[in-house]
Amino acid sequence: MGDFPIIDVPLIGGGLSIGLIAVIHVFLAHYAVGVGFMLYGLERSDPGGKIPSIQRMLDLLGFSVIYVSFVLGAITGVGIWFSISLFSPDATQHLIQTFVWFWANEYTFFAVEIVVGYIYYYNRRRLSWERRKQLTLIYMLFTWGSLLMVTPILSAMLTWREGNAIVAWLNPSAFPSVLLRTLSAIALACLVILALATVRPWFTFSKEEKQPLYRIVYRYMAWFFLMLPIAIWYRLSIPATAASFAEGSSVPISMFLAGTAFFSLVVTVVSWYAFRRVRILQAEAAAMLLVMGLVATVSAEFVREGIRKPYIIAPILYSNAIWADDVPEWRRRAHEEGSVLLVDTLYPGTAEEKPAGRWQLPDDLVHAQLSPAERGSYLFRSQCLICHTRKGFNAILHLTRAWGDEGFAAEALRNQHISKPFMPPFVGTDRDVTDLTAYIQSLHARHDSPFDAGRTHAPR
Amino acid sequence: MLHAKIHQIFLVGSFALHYCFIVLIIGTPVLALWQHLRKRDGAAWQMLRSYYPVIVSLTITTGVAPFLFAQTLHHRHFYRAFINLYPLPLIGLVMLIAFFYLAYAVVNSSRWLTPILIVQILMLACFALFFGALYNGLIYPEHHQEQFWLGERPPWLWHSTAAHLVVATGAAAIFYGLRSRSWWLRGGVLFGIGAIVAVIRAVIRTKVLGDGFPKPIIEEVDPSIVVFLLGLVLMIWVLYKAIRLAIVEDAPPAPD
Repeated sequence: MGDFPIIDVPLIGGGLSIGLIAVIHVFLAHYAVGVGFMLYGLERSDPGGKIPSIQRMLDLLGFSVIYVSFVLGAITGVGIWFSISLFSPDATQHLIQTFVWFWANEYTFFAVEIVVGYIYYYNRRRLSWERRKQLTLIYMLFTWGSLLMVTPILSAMLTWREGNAIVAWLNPSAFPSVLLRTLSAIALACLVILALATVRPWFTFSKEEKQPLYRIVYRYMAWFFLMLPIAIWYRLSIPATAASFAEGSSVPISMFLAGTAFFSLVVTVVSWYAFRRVRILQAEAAAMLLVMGLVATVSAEFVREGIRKPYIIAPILYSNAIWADDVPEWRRRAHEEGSVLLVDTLYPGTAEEKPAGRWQLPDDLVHAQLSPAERGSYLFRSQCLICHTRKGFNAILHLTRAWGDEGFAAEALRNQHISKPFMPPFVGTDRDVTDLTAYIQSLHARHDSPFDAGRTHAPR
Repeated sequence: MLHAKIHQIFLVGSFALHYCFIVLIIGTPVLALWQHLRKRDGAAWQMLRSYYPVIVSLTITTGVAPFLFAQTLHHRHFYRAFINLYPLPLIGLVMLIAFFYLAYAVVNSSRWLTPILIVQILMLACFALFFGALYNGLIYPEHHQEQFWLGERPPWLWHSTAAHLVVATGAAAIFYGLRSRSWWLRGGVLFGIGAIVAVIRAVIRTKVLGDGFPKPIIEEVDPSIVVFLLGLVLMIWVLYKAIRLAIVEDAPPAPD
């Protein structure tokens, strides 16, 4: 709070903006890693290049890597970086500064992935099998290497460990996360292959001709059952509060977890059955399995993001960009100054020391001259806008409909982190609470939404 | 001090490499259009019709490293400048996706080449303005952290952007015009130009503007740099091996 300007994205908000880009990237990045394994597996299993269905699938996979992963996947990867820099600069700055050499290492792996991917794609037809196999082995190791570098950084956001970058990188949930993502990447690639193998005219082979391809794909899919023990390992590695969100205390997160578990189970069972019988799937079944795999992946990402609340980096940085250790100091100084908007940022002794409201308050307006609702709007901007829109996704208008009167609203704000454990504490004085309440009331008045809409029925 | 120096060297070095591909991404379509209109299929035209998407991809890839080190060195100034450039970065990304697929369209289609090429060059001009603003916003963020779009732009912004367009096209002309068939020589000349531009930028920043080079927040060298240096050596070795796998012919089978 206070150190960066906050961007107001109407209706969807900054969080969802990051999420929309991230969902596309997660699919494509996982797919690229999974394809690495499958390219190597398929190349290795057809030494003479004599099995037409495998060769055709290698063409299709190479094509998809070049035209989809290297374009949309790479650019949405940069897109996530851009969007987190725009909407969560505090967390981004902390992660970049701490893990700079791991990011740099991930980058070197990614660079190899790109170059080797192009070399393989453009030269596949003229290279010997031995060389193709070596290139796909390099591609597989380096795509997985980039996953290995970056996943522990993501898991550090849930299970942060103080110390140098290596200590923080080796956080408790790092390795189960890497293994889970590896399996889910292979699963995604396998499901795409099964779906592609049913699409005419791209893939026109008889059942018998498809058998060798399916046999290899099922051999990989047979390992999906490992997801369950690794998921249990992951569960044991995360904080109990975070786990409790997914185990009932937050209904949406629990439902998403149930969705992930159910769809993963279906894919695993079908894969195991198909592996035993080498069944050739029909288009509908393959498409359904792929959709289930995609839903399971998205749901798992939602759960991972959800259980981290009320933090961006647990337990050091709250989701509204307030450092947890700084909360008592913010409160003390807010009481001294009369409002949190008047407190200097907590970087004393540097040129950055400026009023916290600097990025939120217009320069030419004096705090005292503003109406309570106007002051509340700047408080909303500095503490709520990162996660909530006014009217739209996770809208404050919807969430406060049942607040009733000012007294209830003030208590709800003061105790938001107690009544809703996924909310960070409100930082401010009693007057700030009153101002924010006035602003929320004014929003309801402006949108013709009664403040006590949740109490349309009188209590009996 | 050592930590700051390492970051500064990597910023300048990685920007030099990135600039090589900026030269090619800008210069190739401009020169190709010139050659196409003169009914001559020169080296730039052939590149555009075969491997131009690879150039686009490598421009993006090599741009990631300077972006990383700009963040570590400029830290909070960087993010403030970046936020004040909103929504430019996100619009730029959407345009980049469109541009990338357009590059593939040029490779894979034989019709409408001239109009596609003109659209491509117009998009590049937009990119030059967009990324010119972005680069200047990010390389000198301390100078305009506030309201970039409301008139606090440095006066030399558009001059700098125009200069880069001219330099890039000129450097690409040298690259494609070299009579030597050696890719090592061509690549070396290109990297030399990139290095000169990167060093000039650094000198302008430190000497002319008198700002000195910024420093990362964390002052000590983190032990994780060892992991990175190993990764860097591994990357160079593997890339060398992969390129050899692609270009060195298999030995003919030994006679019985």
